[in-house]
Amino acid sequence: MKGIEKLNLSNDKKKLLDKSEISFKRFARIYFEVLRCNGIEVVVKVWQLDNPAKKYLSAKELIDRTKGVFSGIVPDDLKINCRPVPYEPNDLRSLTIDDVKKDLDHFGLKPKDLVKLLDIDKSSLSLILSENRELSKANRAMFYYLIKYLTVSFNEKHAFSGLNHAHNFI
Amino acid sequence: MTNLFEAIKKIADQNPEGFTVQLPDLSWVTSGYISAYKETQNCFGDEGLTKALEHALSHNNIVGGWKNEDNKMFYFDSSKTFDSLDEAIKFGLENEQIAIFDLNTFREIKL
Repeated sequence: MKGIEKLNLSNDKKKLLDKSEISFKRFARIYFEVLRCNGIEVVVKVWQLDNPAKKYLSAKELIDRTKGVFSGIVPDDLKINCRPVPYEPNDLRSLTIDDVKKDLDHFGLKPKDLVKLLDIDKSSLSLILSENRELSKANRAMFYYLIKYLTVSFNEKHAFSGLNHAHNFI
Repeated sequence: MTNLFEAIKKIADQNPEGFTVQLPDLSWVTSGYISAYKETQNCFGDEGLTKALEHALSHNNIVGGWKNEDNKMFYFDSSKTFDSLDEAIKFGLENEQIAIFDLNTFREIKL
């Protein structure tokens, strides 16, 4: 385990931590790194990568698993603080026009709204959306990050003011 | 056996973080509680794979492994999965394991 030398533990206990990490790495592609330990707290980074089972843990679950690994190994009065980094699939490369259309529907956006949002001409957009023009890498990235931006903004606005329509962004 | 040996070596090379597959179709094992057999502890290298493979073929047809970054050797084992947690714990204790792993929730169960 990375950073394990920062822990003031016996070799036997360090071996137990290493064995736990081997299992998490082997079965779940979950990794741990001890960032620091000062006698009051141990700070552990925990992250997950893509895995053959295609099962991904949330930040809360990663924290729970980390505490499960370290509790009983580090002294009871040492607080275990986690820095979870859940796996985020990179779906940029697999984005299709169908995905884009579904997302636009979800946000209630029409092609005319995209013209305004992206400042692109209507005829080019029509060609792309009707699949008469191949989705270039640049266009794929444009749609991908637009949808990501809309999703984040939508969630924030929805959380704070109850707004539930993407037209609020236009 | 030779074909399986070579196929598993290839999977191991492609997955140094670890793998666990069902024999003979080599599909990934992704559910249940999993525990290794004590007979295949410390099986490493080609000899270790042969032993783990032979054991798996005569028991539960599950073989897996991971690369030990300290000595750069691949370790292999023969394992068994369970639907019942109680049965998995019993098996793990009988096989002198310090933990079993829940593949459904990615949780380690210390014994």
